[in-house]
Amino acid sequence: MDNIIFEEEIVTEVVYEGSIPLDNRLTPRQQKRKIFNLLKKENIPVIKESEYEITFEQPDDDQSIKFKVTHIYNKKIPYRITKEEVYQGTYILDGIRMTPEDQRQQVFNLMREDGFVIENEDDYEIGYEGVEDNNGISDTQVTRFIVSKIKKEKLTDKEYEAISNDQNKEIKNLYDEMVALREEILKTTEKEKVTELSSKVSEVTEKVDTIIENRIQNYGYFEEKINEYNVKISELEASLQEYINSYEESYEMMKELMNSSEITDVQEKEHQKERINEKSLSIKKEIEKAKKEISSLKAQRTRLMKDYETAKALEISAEDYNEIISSLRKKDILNAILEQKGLEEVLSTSSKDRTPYQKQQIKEAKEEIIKELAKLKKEDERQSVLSSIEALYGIELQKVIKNGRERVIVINKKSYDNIINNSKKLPEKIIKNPDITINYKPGDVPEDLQEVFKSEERKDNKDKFTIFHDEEDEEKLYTRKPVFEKFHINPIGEEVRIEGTASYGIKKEDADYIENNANNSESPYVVEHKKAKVVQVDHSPIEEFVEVDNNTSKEPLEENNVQERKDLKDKYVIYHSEENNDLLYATVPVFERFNITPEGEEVRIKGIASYGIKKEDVDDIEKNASNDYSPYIVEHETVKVEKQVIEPLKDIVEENQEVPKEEEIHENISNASKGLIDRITIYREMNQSNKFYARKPVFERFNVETIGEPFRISGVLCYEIDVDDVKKIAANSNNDYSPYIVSYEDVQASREILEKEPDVMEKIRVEQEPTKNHLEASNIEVNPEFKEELKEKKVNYNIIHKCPYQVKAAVDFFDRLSKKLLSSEESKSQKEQFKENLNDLTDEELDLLVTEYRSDAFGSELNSYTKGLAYNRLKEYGYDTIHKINDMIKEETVSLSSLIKGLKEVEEKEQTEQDEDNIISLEEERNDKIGKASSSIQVIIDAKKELERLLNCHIRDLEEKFKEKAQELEFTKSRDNDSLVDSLKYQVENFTRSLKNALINHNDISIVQNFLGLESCYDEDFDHRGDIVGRRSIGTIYFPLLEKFLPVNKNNELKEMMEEETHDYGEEEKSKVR
Amino acid sequence: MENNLKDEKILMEKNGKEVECDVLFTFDSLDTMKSYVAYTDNTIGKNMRKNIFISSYNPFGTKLELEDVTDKKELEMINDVLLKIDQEN
Repeated sequence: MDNIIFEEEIVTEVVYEGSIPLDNRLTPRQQKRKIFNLLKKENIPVIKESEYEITFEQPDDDQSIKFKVTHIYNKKIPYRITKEEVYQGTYILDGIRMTPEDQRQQVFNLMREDGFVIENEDDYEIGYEGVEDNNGISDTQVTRFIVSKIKKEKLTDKEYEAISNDQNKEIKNLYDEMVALREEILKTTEKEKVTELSSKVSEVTEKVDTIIENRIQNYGYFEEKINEYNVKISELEASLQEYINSYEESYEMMKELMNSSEITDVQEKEHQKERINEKSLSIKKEIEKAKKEISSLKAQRTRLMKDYETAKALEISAEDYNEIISSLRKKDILNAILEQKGLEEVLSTSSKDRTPYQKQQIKEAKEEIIKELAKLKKEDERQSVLSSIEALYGIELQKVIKNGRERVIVINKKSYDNIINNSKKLPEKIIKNPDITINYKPGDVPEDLQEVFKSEERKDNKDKFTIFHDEEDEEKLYTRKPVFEKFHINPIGEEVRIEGTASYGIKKEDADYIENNANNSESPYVVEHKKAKVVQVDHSPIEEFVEVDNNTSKEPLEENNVQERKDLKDKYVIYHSEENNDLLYATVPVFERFNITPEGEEVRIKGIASYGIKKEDVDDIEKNASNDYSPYIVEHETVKVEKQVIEPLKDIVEENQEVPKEEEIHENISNASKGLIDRITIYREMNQSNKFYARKPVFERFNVETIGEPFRISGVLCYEIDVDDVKKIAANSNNDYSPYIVSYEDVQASREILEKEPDVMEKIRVEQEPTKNHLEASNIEVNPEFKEELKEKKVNYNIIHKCPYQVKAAVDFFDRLSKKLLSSEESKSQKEQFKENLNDLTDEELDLLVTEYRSDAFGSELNSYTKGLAYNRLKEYGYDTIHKINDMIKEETVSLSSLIKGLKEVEEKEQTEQDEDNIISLEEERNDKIGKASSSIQVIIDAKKELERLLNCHIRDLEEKFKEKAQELEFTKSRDNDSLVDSLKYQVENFTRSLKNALINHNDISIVQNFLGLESCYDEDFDHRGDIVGRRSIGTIYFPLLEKFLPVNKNNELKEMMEEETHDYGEEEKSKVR
Repeated sequence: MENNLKDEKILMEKNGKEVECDVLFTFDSLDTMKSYVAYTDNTIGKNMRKNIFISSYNPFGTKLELEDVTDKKELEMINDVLLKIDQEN
């Protein structure tokens, strides 16, 4: 058998060569970590990092550095050892004593003498036969030696495997041999034989040991497993190191920002925060508890206030009132009285199913009963309420209570079986009818039957009722509300707080009664007695509670939060009349919010329309406001109530004018003087004097509601308007400073009724237009570098949609941005369709768009593109309208100037004419011309108003464009009101006022005179030095409008005419002006 | 289509200095009839995230300028676009 030995050798293997970017910030350790991470990425297994050596080369440039990773490790290499006998001989050891090494050299000398070539002495082994003395070789002895050459050969893999297999076979054979020997030993009884066999076994064992010792082990599997573990450990170590590094970096950063004491502070603050949070939680609990108490107190207070008010109104004491209420609180008594009052049918309906009317009936009846009982109480205070009830309604109370309606308690089958099985244990009176339903009679001990049967199995879980003894006076007993309800007993006195919960006084006999019934094993409850502090409920005024009430937040930790909650609550104010505190009023939102019908006529409170509200409605509102979660609060305020009397049309004009502030008056006059007096047209149904209609803007202007569906009258969109609203509008129109006048127009009943108001936007909207909730993106183009960055998922982003800096882009970039969008087919088709829709709009619809769709509407309804198209279309329409108005004014002014000229001629003729018929004819002609001139003036005023509306359309940019355009027109050249001298301003005011009166009164001559007077005031050439009624002796009379269109310059004539006509002002007007 | 966003730059004026921003992506919306551009000056915010600015451009407007995006629906659309780009990767 070959002798195999293993020798460890150091293996050096370069596993990776590469380069990394130069980074001076990295420590050698971090660099090493970086390289190992790289190896991991490259799938090069690193089992034990200490076996790897990293060497760096000199950097080629400033950017990177090359490195080499070498794996250095020990490896066991198998060698076969063979011996070959090459020489033998003897010699007499006759010399001095030799060391073994000298002896060995002696042998090699002998060999060399015989012609052997010895290259390496270590390759030879020398064996000695014969005497061998460890202490040296004797002088006389002969020794024989055998020299063998040792050969060491590295095994190939195949040889390695073959030898391994041979060894295994040999071991197996030896094992079998050993087993056989052992069996033989067991069978043998002879001592000697056993000794022999044992010695053989020892030999075999020794052989096995030798083989095993030299056995070539297949370590592959273990190595693989060990490698796996090593890799895992290595990975974990690496990530741990990353965490450590990251922590260290963070810590370093923190140290840069804060010193050590600051860091300690931060840590301390963190701890504090935790402690505060815990404390806050406990405070929060306390707050919630307190809030509940407050809420309960507030409810009680409201009730008491209500009782107090009622008692006061009934003129009885609070005690008497309480007695009445307590008596009526007994349902059986109340129901008996209500039955007496004929409300059996209502009572037979369960309270849940009662109609509002039925509820109202009961409410009213209860109020009546209270009043009746109060009256009796007032007459004889000593008479008890119960005896009053008996006397007043003929009710035998004893009977009522004894024969109260049976209460039906439904129980399940199991409970029923329990009842039957345990009936012997029960008080007989409970089981009257062994049916599924168990009868219960008021007046009996109100035991809950289901509970009774459970009492056996849940002794410890019995209901517990506590009777509290006032710690200051133990005789005073109190308990919780459920006890009174359960045992149908009345509480005494007012509510108190015990351990933060509402409680009431209980009579000693009632407490005993409850306790007696608890003293049997079947009782479903137990009674406990406890001493407690009794807190009286505070009846302080509402104001004291206001702050507290507002803190009814569910998240009361922070003050801000509380404040926020306070602000979030709706506030409703109940107004009390100064003159009579019992008269209550509220504004419209209160009636709408609580669905209450207002009472009586409208009144004004602080200038706001308000209505009367019933006390019970106020009570209901307040009742619901008195809990923690109510979304609103109620406040009371005593105010002056102004009656709003609606008078017939004509009579109210002078009385009910709301006098505006001085500035407002001036503004109105200023507008009016520009011919901008608003003319509100009210359409009146031809045969029905109380049916009126108006255009939509009228409703918006006066904030009144439309009636019914819209319809068109002569093509104009109208709605019906309430006659009262018409009266109100008219009431404020007929004064000097009103910015509008009202005119009436009778219309035919037949008209086109529309299902809904036409929606112009809908008409122009293109399909897939932008009202959609979700916007679609298209033509997404991404920078490949950004794509790559996203892919690597190494970077997180902040998306900033409001760039705080000024940004610029190249013009061609803008082109590129818009190119795709502008050239898309969809865009083109939308554009065309939208254009078509816009072109299809009628003038009326365009007018509606201009005047009623403000820029906001465009902002949300149209996108930038369609907005642009709409803008252009409206601009076109606006320009067109301005031109039309210009033409209209021009035409009317020419007509007016011609009429005035004719008028002058007629008047001249009149002065010289003698013939009466002719005079009459001339007078008729004069009146006709004045009438026509007045009509022209009214058309001019309306046209100017129309223009003003257009110029104030509030569509951004468009409004400016219109104004710019209007500047180019012929009739706008007039002096600005602000630039007028004071005396002229005064005149303007007078002319304006008179013109308005004239328009209202249809006084044609006055319309003409005042219009001309007004126009003259705006003439820059006009130098007024006369008095206010126009005795203008100096200066040129100039009519800005007329001058342009008069065929010849008639200034002088006009001057004369003005002088004459202003004399027609009348004495009354003059005195008014003066 | 050739993607040449790599070559596009937007200039941002910061503290009196002009900073070049890389254009990351662009898109249009027919619903708003506007184009949108996302760009970055490669700065990192306090939360260690890279700042991306988004502006819109109205090709029908009168001025050649990038505008802020303030409409909620538009912001939602931008989010969708980012998600889409990310998911396509």
